Amino acid sequence: MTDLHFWLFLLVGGSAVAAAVGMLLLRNAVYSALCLIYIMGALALLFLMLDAPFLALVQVAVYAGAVMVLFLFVMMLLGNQAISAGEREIRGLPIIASIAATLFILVAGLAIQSGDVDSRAPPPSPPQLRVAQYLPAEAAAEGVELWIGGIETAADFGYGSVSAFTTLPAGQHTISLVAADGSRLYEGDVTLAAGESASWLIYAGEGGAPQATRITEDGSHVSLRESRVALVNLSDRPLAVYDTGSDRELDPARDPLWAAELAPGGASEKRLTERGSVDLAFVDLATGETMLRTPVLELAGGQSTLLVAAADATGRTVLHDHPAETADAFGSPAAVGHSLFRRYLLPFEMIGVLLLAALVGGIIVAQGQRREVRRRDVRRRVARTLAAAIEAQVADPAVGSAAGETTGAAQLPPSAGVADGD
Amino acid sequence: MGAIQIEHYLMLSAVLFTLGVLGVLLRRNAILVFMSVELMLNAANLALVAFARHWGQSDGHVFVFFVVTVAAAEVAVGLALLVTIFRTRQSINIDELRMMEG
Repeated sequence: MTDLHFWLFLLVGGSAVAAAVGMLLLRNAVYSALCLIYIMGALALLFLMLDAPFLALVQVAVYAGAVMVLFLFVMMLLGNQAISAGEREIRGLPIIASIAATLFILVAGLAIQSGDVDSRAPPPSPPQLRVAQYLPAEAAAEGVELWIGGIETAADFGYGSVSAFTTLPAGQHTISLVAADGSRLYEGDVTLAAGESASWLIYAGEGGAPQATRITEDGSHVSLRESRVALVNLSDRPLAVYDTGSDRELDPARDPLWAAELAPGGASEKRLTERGSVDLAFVDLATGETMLRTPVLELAGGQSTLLVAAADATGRTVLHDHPAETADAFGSPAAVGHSLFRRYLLPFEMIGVLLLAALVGGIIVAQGQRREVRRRDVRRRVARTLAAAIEAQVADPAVGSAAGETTGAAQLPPSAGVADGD
Repeated sequence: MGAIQIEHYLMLSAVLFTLGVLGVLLRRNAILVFMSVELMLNAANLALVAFARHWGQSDGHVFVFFVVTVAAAEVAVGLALLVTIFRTRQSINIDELRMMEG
């Protein structure tokens, strides 16, 4: 697979370089434009190989499409001279430029080869933590507050509550549950490393003493067709978990086994299942009886779900599900859109203003200088005196000088004279 | 050889960028100079995408998106300028456009 990748890179990259050389050398500008379109297409392929499908699409649509159409359009508009504009060469420039280019490539190659790319890797993101509590004690039912690292994170944090993921600095943090009367129900320390994401499940262990188990979350991308599930057993007995398919009786011989043995306080491996409904049966390994049948459970696609079996106040084992969003696929439109609108909103707005300015600028520039229309008196330009009109018709200056100035000009106002003028 | 690394993409990007610079230096046709500038921008985009892939962070993709937008704006204004220059001077040979010369 990597071999295929490598040969594909050689083929696409090599042909792109060849097309760039062709663009440099071809005399006809239309051929050069076709070469550039090929380079854009080749780069789109390389983007696909680099897991950037959205940018590959943008590359084809904007560069190979819109920009190159604009280039060809201007070439055709300006005609033959633009296509093969005189290529008077400055003597010696090609040689000097080639030498400089070779030197540049050598220096760049040396820098790329000797540079340590990984030593400047960006820092990992800060850790995230969420807390859930399953204490069946009566004091833990109402008015409980959740404190993480000395900060109140959630109020009214009763049985089965789960907090949202909280971003914390890396290091050790104290998690405590404070009952309504001010007493501490639980207190424990959690150590988080950068880039981690974890769930902290507080439950009643042996003898009802509060204790916690830590589940490391996996927030990486899950396709929309699948769902990632982890099973957690917070009851006091080891369990086996089967998927009975639809709402049928459990048949251990036929139904797929999701977890062979879940120790108390233990969690299963994370597994990917098809999204949709599942119907789980939790079987007590000691007695062989079914402790817990879920109602038909809907698992949404693209999510990571924690399924927790814990005892409630009445002593029955109940199932809780805690879905969490997963990251968008790297390079997908969703991922680019999220960072565009979350982290880069201001630059995005500024780019919009820039495009608007370019639009206005393009219109103003392309319109050229407006030819100044001289606003002379139009009436005066077309008008002639009646004498001149008769003179032109009759071609006898004597008639004009006798009749025109005395009668005609006196009877007709200047504007009427204009209307008559042909 | 075999495994493909970020260095390969960076090298390809450097070569394409250099060819773009050569185009700007050697060609006299203003349209081709513009096309060479586009080639340089594309080479820079390739390096950005390669780095984004290398570190698994999509910030590089956002920068590429911005570069594409700026390039589109630049082409629109630049070609409008070219058309105007061609109307007044009847030429787009950049050697003949020396009215700004001091």
